[in-house]
Amino acid sequence: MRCGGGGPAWAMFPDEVWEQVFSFLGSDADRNAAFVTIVLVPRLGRRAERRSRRRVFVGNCYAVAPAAAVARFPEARAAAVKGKPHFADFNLVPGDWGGGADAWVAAMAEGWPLLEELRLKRMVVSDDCLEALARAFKNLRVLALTSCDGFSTAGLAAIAAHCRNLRELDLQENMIEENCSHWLSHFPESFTSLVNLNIACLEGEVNVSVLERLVSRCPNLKTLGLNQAFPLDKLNILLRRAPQLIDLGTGRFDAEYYPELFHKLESAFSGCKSLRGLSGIWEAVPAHLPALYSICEGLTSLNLSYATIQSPDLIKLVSQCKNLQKLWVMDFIEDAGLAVVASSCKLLQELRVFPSDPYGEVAQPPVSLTERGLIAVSTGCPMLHSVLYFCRQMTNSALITVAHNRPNLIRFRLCILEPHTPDYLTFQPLDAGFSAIVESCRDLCRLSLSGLLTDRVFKSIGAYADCLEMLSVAFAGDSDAGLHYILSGCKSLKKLEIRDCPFGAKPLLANAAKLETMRSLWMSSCAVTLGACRLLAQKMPQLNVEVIDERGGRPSWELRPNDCPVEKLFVYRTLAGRRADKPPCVWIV
Amino acid sequence: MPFERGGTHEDHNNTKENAISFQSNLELRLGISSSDNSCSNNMACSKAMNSTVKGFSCSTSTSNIAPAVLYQSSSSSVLGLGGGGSYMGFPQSPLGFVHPWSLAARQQKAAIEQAHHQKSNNLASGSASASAAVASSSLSRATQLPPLAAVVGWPPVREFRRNLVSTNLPKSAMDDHEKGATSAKPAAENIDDNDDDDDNSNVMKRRTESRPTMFVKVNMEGYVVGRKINLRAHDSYESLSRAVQKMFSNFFSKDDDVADPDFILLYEDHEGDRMLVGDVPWELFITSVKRLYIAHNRKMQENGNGNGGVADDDDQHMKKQQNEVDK
Repeated sequence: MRCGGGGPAWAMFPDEVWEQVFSFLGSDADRNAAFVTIVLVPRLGRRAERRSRRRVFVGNCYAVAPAAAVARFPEARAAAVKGKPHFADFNLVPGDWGGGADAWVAAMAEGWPLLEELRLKRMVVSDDCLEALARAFKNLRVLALTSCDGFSTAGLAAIAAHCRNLRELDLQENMIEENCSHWLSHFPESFTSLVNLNIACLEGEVNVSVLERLVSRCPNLKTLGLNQAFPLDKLNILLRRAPQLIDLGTGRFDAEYYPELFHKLESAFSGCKSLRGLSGIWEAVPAHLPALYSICEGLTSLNLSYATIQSPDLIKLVSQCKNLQKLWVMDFIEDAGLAVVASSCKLLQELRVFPSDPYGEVAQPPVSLTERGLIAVSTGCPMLHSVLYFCRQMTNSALITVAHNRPNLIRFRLCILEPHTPDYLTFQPLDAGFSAIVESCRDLCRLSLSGLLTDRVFKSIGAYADCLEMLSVAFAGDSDAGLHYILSGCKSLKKLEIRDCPFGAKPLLANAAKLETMRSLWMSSCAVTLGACRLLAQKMPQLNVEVIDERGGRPSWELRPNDCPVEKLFVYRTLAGRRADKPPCVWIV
Repeated sequence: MPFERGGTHEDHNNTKENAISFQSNLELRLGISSSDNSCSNNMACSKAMNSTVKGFSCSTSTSNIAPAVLYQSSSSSVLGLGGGGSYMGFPQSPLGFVHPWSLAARQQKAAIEQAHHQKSNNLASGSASASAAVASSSLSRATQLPPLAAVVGWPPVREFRRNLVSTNLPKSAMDDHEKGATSAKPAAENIDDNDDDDDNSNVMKRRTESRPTMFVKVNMEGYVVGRKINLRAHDSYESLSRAVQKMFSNFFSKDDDVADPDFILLYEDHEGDRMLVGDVPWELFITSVKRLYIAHNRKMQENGNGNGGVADDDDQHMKKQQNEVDK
């Protein structure tokens, strides 16, 4: 398992050896490690890297200037760029913060005209940008936009019209303005290369017959993700046109039940012998669920996280999915349902349980999803390695059990909905539980904490979590010591995001060099002062220290005193210096 | 536009003077007085309270409920209901008149929202007492925590998850009630007449940013200007009815000659149909209501011709007064 900081010994090898090493490094993750090393030690292996690099991954769009990245890797065919910090997903980052894709697309159009794959995440993509890339990249095969915003279906129309070789159009959780409902019609009749079409995040209706024609003429279509507006009674039509589908995201699973519809659905699904992944199922009516039973056995991935189905119906469905590797579900599944998962889905690797009522707004009896469900799956599913679990109560004992059962965990994200919630049996902080997790799961690379936590848990994490790359902390800790433990330990840490913790900036100053080995640090609603930020920026010229203040009417940042509190802080290493597109709410110290 | 801001208005400085003179003018003309009735909302309150303190082994929850309920009942000046029944009709004779911009109205709105706020505060303070055994400075932080719904970005779920269930009840509940309503609709909807309109319910679900508020328009039949009311500030039909009555009571024709016109409360649901308020449980109503209407109960009006004529004259006068106040 690759973890720990990159050792410099291999930097001594001659170029020929570099060439071979790099072409063996397949995954982005491995290559990224190599990329980092190259960035910091620019003289070594530069030529070899440039020649062989086909896939370029830029984890922070402001870490390097677009033109520089493009120039460095002239043979690139696939690019992935990420923009806003992760907490932008939860409205913590101002809308105008940045992450614009225009500069990147312009540079790529100039330097990588043969680009085949483009993946953007949490970036602001304009319609002009989409139009530009549609025209610039004649060979574009894959366009994947995740959690992006700033564009509309008019931009998608441009993609449809001009990307003649497009194989994948994957739109995940974007905020898209819908001003052109016929954008799908812009795929010409001669266009037959589609393999993956995912439009689940669109809210408006798409023309069913246009979609049907598109699906019919694309014989290689493997993934189809419909949106919620797609009606259930037309689903069987599409399925009959594309029985070769491997992944299907249905539209709404809600319609007035009548036997003919049910039988049509049932027989359409049973015709899809290759179906391995299923998602969508919005607003599911239990009466229609049995139409899915025929494909359950073959499913390896099931996303029911939009399905407002109660536990008994969920159990009936999930208990038949013997080969499930990935399950996303709402907390309606309850402990009882997870117990069934534990006994039926022995191949389960990834579990995500989402809250149906995250804000306690819906006045209905609470779902019975507790630590018991987590214990059950950790006990019964030996291959479980990724967990995201939202619940309302937890105990140290449960976490310790999970830790002992599943030392193979690599991602563990626990979110106890109410901040500062202690062990509900002992009223102790959950330090012991999370400590057990990091001590036992030595390959853990992603961890999210919640509940009542003191500095003790951070001591454990700093000491044991050698492979941890991403850590999310909220409403935890007692003092600066907590943050210091993290920054002085956690050898592999790349991304640290903290909110509402009593951490000042002293640990940042004490561990300033650490920040340069990380991709980024986010701190909001902590105890950071402007003076400390100034010191940090002064000390570390290769870091951008961005302070963010959305409130207007304050004096400009230069004039503010050192003890002025900083509400939001985003620190990241960069080769590009201060960014030119910073909005008024951001000051780069 | 002053009428576009919920049940009462906080910042109405420029219209305050007009409002006061309007109020006293109207009161003299109408010869009515306000009366206090106790809040029959206790059960709904406790229920809402209980649902949010679940999951904690804190014994303080029950004791925290009572004060909040008492607070609400004592500080609200509430119109009596003309009986529950199967439809939300307004009472035979309005028992009180509270001008929407008056201090009393603002207090009442504050009381309702305080109770709502209290509910969330109990949650935060409940967790603090549960961790009392822990000698940790995090205790003080817990008590200072704002209500969960007001903490930005917590819990860490994407925005679209916020509305998934609040507008889609677990289907077992929906089925029982909605099946009857939708059975008339043939499932063979013509999908191909793809007009550009988005499915309203989907758009509303995803883009409703206002939690814990949910403002819907309220239109009184015959009036151009509508109002807005925050449905989240209410836990039951009774509460909603009182609020709507308060809002529109100055639009009634108040002549003694007139047998009080019966108004009925209707709503438009997410499918665009106009429905009578009161048939389905409150929780279900909340998920499907998009706007409210106060309509004349035509049956009643047809009974006496004179009513219509006089009512119309008064309506016109009300409108004119209202327009003056608007400026």
